Amino acid sequence: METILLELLQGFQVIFTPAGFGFLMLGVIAGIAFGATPGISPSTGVALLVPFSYSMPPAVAFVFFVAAYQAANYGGSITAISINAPGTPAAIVTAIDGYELTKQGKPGLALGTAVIASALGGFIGALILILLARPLAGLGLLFGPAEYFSLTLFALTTVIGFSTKNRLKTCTAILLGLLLATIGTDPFSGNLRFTLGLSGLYDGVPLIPAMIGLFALAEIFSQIESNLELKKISTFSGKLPGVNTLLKLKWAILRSSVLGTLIGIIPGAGATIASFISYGEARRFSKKKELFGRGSLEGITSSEAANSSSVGGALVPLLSLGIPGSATDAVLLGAFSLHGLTAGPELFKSSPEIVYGIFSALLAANLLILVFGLAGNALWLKLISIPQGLLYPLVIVLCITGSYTVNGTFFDSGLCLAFGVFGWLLKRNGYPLAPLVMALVLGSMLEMNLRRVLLMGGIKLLFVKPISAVLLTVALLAVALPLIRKKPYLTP
Amino acid sequence: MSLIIKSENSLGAVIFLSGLVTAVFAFSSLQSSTSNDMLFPAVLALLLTLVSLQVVIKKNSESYDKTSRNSLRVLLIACVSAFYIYLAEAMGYYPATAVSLPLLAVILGYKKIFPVVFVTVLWLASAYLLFEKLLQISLG
Repeated sequence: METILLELLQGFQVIFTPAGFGFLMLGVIAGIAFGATPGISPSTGVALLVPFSYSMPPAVAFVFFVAAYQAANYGGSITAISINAPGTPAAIVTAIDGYELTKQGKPGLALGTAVIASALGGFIGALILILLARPLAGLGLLFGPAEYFSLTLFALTTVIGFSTKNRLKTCTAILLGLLLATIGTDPFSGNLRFTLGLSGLYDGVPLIPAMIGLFALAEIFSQIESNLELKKISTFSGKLPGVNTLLKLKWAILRSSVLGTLIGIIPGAGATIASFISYGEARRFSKKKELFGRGSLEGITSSEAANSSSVGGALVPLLSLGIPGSATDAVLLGAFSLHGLTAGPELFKSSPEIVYGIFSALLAANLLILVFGLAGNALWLKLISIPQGLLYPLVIVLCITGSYTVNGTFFDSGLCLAFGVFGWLLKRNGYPLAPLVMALVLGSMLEMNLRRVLLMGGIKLLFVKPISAVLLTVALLAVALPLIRKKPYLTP
Repeated sequence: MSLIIKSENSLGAVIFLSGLVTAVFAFSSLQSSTSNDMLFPAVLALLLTLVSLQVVIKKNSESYDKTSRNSLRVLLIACVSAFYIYLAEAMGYYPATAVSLPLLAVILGYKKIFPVVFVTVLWLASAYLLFEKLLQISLG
């Protein structure tokens, strides 16, 4: 316990500097604005912020990202409740009861409950992250190539297991991502693979421009195609939930937060699945089941606490083992490499200030979300009413500018655009993009560890090592079980 | 079983063909090379070919509106964005942005001149201050 407090103190030293606190605040504000804007998911928002961090000290940069990541998960609820246009996929569940309350003339009650549940959920998720990350990182130090190969395979197969629509298309997206990850110089032989003579691809597909293209540009193109116009924002009633109301929700918040964190830890599950499962569980436990879908505060609480706490959960495998728990964590993994760092157990030894900075940033960001959320709801609603004819060109210019700044070359901007068009085509044909990005990020790790295994003792090593064998079995089950069940874990 | 490639499966067909070409290329490189650096991509490409073939021949219940006017608008936006990148390379970031940002807004149907000019100037000033001054990144 004493060690944890000392580590947190070290983390707070990063935050309590002018730069640290400034970027923490900026991250929360940007995150809420991104989350509240339909079409800009947390992963898109964080991908857009990464290029700005190029010349920042890494510890401050990750405070910035983590604050934005956490705040974006909350921001989605603002438009979900006010205008029934969820800013993030995870906020779809919040809209079910939140918009009902708005229609009943109580948006303040819904927005207030959402921000309190989000902040508390995020705080509990952060505490669980702090407790679990170090022990799991200790376990990670025992991992060799066989275990890492099996773990990476497990992460990718759980994405297939959790896919809600077409599993074949999810498989295709993963294989495309893995194949794209093989582009560049082979680390073992030094030979070039699939570079088409383009020097910009010699070091592989630049991750940040690719992710900005796949997440941000593809999303904007899809929004332009669907021509979604935001509805008029309802009159904002400032009446917030009272203390008695909140006390009645305490068990729902606690249960959903723990559930959200645990679901967040499973690679590929993420905030959306956490919200859906938590909402279902809250309805099962509730004494007022009939209110669900008609403006239940328990419904809003369960969804918001779960999706916020899943952030802390998803960071557990990223920080401990270097395996992203969600699409946004895949972006963070790319940001680690941009700053010359490798996520995983070694990070606790080589750059502890970054790990502890992330811990502290998550705790502090939730406090700021509470402050900004309660004080600024009316302002956020005004901000998101920027006409799309102005907003989308700005985001496109930001994507192209951001991808240029990573390596100072317009080749990366072109690549970002190409990935944007590719991502849009995939999206409109029902191929999910998050598995593709996760595979693109994890591809080199999968290949390198497999080749090390082959050099060390052959493929049988994967089945002889106990941890590896268990992970491979779970990976197989992750694909097989949903096929046996014949339906996905959740139906949105 | 009749193999009918529906229009909504055309992207699946393109992925299938790309996978097939990559697999053939990777396996032929593998045979002519002493190192096994093409083994992993070859296996992946083969798997991609098989999975995408299943996507193509599977009866697809999902329906997509393929030929909306907005799809053409997206393609136009993508072309203007490509032109923007070309311009930025050729004549510098700031003049290229000053031309492209209003152009993109017009294509998206925004016709109020003053807000477009205001946002363009605000963006250029912010980009200069943020990237050039604060982050010391030259935008060229």
